[in-house]
Amino acid sequence: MSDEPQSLFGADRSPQDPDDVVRERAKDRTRRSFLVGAAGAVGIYGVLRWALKTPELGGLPPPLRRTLDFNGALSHAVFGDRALAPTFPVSYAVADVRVNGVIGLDPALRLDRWRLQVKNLANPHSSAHYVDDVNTWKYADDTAIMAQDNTLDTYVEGDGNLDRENGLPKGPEPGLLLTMDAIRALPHVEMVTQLKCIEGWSEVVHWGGARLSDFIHAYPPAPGEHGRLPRYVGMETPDRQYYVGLRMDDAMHSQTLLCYEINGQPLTLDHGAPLRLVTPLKYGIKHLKQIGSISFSDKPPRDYWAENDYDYDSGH
Amino acid sequence: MADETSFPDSEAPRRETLRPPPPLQPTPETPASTPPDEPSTPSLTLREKHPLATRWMHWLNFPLLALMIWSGLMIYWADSAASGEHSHEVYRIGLGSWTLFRFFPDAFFNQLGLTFSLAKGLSWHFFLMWLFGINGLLYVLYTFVSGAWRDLLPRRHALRDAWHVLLHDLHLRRGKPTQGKYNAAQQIAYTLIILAGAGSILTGLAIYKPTQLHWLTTLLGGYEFARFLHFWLTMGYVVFFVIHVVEVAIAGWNNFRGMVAGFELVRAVGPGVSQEEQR
Repeated sequence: MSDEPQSLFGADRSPQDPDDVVRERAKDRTRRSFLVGAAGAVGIYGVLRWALKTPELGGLPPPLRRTLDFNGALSHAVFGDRALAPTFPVSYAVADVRVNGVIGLDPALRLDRWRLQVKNLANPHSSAHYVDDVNTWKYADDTAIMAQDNTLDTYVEGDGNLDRENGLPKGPEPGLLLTMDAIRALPHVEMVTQLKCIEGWSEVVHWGGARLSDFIHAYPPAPGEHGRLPRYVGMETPDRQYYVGLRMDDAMHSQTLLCYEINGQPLTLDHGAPLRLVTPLKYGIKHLKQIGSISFSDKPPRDYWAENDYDYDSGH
Repeated sequence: MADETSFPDSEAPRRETLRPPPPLQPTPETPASTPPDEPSTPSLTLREKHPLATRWMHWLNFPLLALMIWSGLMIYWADSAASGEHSHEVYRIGLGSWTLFRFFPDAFFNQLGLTFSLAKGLSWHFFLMWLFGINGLLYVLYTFVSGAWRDLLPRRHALRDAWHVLLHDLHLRRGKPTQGKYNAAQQIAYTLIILAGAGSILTGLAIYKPTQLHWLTTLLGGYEFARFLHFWLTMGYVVFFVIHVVEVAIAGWNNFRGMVAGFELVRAVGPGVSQEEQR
């Protein structure tokens, strides 16, 4: 045990007692150490408090947001686009794929009135699908589905068609309005990979569709800095309620698909009919359902869950 | 277990309070018996115990690990949101479809205010992981370079000695095996906790990048098993923490002060008996 208590009751001892000198030294060092420790604790707490109270960056305290972005950049530097998601035999795929997100999803969308708006292309004028402003395209709801389910209008938050305040530029955006025929004309790819949700669950899913890289080759974007491909791809739902941003190297990854089939069947509306994004190196939050528009830019496009405090990269 | 003083605890106060008459052999053991005017050497000495670096790394690890567990629970909440689903296969005691005990009922998360904080939990976890990992790495490097690992690595018969230490600490056995700076039980515990830290980082990486690092995830038994390991390693820290605090409380002030101020007070037991020999 300690020798400290004895020094408290050792008043009868001469101050010359050499042990008392040692005890004094011990007390000094102990006091100093506790003070330094307390100062260190207060200092660390203060730095943390200060760092966490500075204006938020993308919904998060700057150190946290910067670290998430750093982690994402680091994993791009380490893995690049070389990493491939493991694939499984078709028999591993689940028959009934879980539906987990409905934001931006119109469960009554009329598929014949669906168009894929493609913006920021290199030479859109040469295409037969060219329009001066892709944002003027009007999607439509299937009145029969609407009539069957009177809860549906809770999902459809306005038609959003000309919602220029919700992330759209003031002026017209020339581009293409593509139908599913244009997507189906691209080489067909089948892939069985695991969809991982950022909540923790995962499912092996049998996807079918076209590589996004094939789409980008077929519809080359306007060059970005230094004449290269733009750094980012943005996708939004027709109502612009849900939107994701992808780095170009993720978009060009061989397993990133414009998906239109699950288990060999066309997508159902709750899985994002007619066309959704599948990118198995990212969490499910990046797998935007019901793509309305694709755009290209050197600046990071807005991203729904990054705006809600999640990692922009969301790679796993 | 944490009793690291060089003499049995019970003897120290008795020596001072009983003030025995000068012993027959000339030992400077009882300074009160030495006349004050006579020059004498102190029988108490400050013996350096834990280097400054070790102490900082030790204490920094406490809030870091606590915050890692706090943010980890926010991640578990999202994984437990739908009762009876997937997550409960991992954070429980059970086998197959049979479950004895689930760790995180809704009330647990509600009480601790950990609900609906997945994004917060993830961002904190992936921020703190750097500090936790760097602190751990520096500790291992320092321990290796400074030679402190020699005190920490279990020796031959460590398991048998640790068992005797345990029996002694439970007052089931008299006397303890001879030991150096740490007893065998401490050596095993302090070595295992470093291995557990490495395990947490590896299993953490395996569930952080299960696709890009899928070879590591596969090596650790797959996505679900890596989570299972990550969870149980954390439970191991909690158990370690509880035992550690109890042992430190039992070992007393001299031992605790060693981890704050770096030294312990030791008393020479006789002439020619050096501190090294006592160890």
